[in-house]
Amino acid sequence: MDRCMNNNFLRPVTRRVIIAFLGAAVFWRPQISSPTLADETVAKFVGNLGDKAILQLADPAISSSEREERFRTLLNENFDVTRICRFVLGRYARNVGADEMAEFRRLYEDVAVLTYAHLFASYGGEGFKVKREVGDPGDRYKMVLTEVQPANGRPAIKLDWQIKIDGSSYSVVDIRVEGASMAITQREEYTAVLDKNGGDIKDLLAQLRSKVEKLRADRTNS
Amino acid sequence: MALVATLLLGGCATRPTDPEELAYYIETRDPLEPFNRAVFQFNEVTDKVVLRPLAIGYRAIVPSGIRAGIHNFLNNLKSPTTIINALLQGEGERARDTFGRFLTNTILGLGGFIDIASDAGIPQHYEDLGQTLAIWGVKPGPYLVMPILGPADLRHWVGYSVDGAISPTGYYIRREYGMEGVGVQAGLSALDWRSANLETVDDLRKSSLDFYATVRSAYRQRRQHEIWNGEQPKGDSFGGPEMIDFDKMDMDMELPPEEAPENGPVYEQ
Repeated sequence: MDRCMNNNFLRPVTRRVIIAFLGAAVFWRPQISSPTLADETVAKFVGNLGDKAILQLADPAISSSEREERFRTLLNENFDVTRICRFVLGRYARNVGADEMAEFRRLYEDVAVLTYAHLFASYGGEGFKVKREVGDPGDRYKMVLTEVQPANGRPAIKLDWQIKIDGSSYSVVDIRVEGASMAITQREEYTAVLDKNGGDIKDLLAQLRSKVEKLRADRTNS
Repeated sequence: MALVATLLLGGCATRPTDPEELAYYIETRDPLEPFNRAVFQFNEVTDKVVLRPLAIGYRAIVPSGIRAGIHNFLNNLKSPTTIINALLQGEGERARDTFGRFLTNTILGLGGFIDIASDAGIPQHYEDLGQTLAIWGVKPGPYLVMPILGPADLRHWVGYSVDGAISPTGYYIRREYGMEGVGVQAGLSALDWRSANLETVDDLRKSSLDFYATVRSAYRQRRQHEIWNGEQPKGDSFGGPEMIDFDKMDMDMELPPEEAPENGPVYEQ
């Protein structure tokens, strides 16, 4: 093999093969780089939130309605749901009255609770690791990059959290799953519905109401 | 392909001029949407009737250790394609990592079933010709949903076909096992992906009001993430994993010029 490849290329490869051969599995630990910025609090906020969520929601002893209520509380305490709701309605947000917006916000919250709370019920993974935070001091938004380790030995899932900074208080405005932003994906979903129905927010609310009913019915049946 | 070209050109007629409107337009345009939605519906039925039940059965019958082994084996088959494309993109480090992984897992990991390389800390990468073309500046072209195979942009499809044709492992499988081997690999890949994503896909499908739009958006964002290898190049205005500016959010939508407020946008910060 030395003859077909130059040494620069081969050396790290050979070294790694040897490392592997020696069963270096025992030495390997996921690398957690400490936040590079002096201000650690945003990363800490996300770390605490992740730990809290797993602690409170992954408890197998609680009922699914208890899990949903805890999820709803965590959502409202830590996410800027109103801001997210305005964003996901895209250009249609400006034509939505206060009452309609309040109803949209309530239904949006219900869909989130009914879709995501149960995911924690079966979570038996190794937890949640904060990798680093991205952003400059004084920014209104920062991104915290994290990884969640699933239970089944599959590769870690990358979750990036966009955090809004308001003085000393923080709120989550977006989560990216392997690069896909939930806010952007939902904006495409809701604006596709509104594009189709000619911007009829009442129709969107009706569709959401029946979606929530259906999700509730599915949950009680399962 | 002529049909695709015609529809593509037809779709460009109402291109906005404002940079922000243009960015949103590019991000969401879908000139083949009626065709795509029809194929998407077909794929949804196929999934519900065939693939999803098979994936549930696969998960129930095959022990998780063996499923993990099959997953590793299928991943290992992709390594040569990743090496070739990492080199074409000038990503020497990634090519080296993947070469190391391929040797380690093929020789010591029983033909790829055991992912010893990950245990040894060699990072896993995935590169394909579609990503290479993107790095070279080729535009994504229209979003195109294929029967059974699912959604991708045209650049991704072209890359996928060429990768398949020139892949050394693909060549080996064709030579040794013929089209049956190719079929088994494709079938196992579908089962592996679907069984790993049972809950994710089911939850998204259940909660979405327009699953087609959800999948299209998620595909495009993930694809951009793959192309950039997870790192957002600074200053690029096109979609992707840069931070969203929630403070000027209702400005960044396409608004036909005739509907634009006369005194300019009223949403300035």
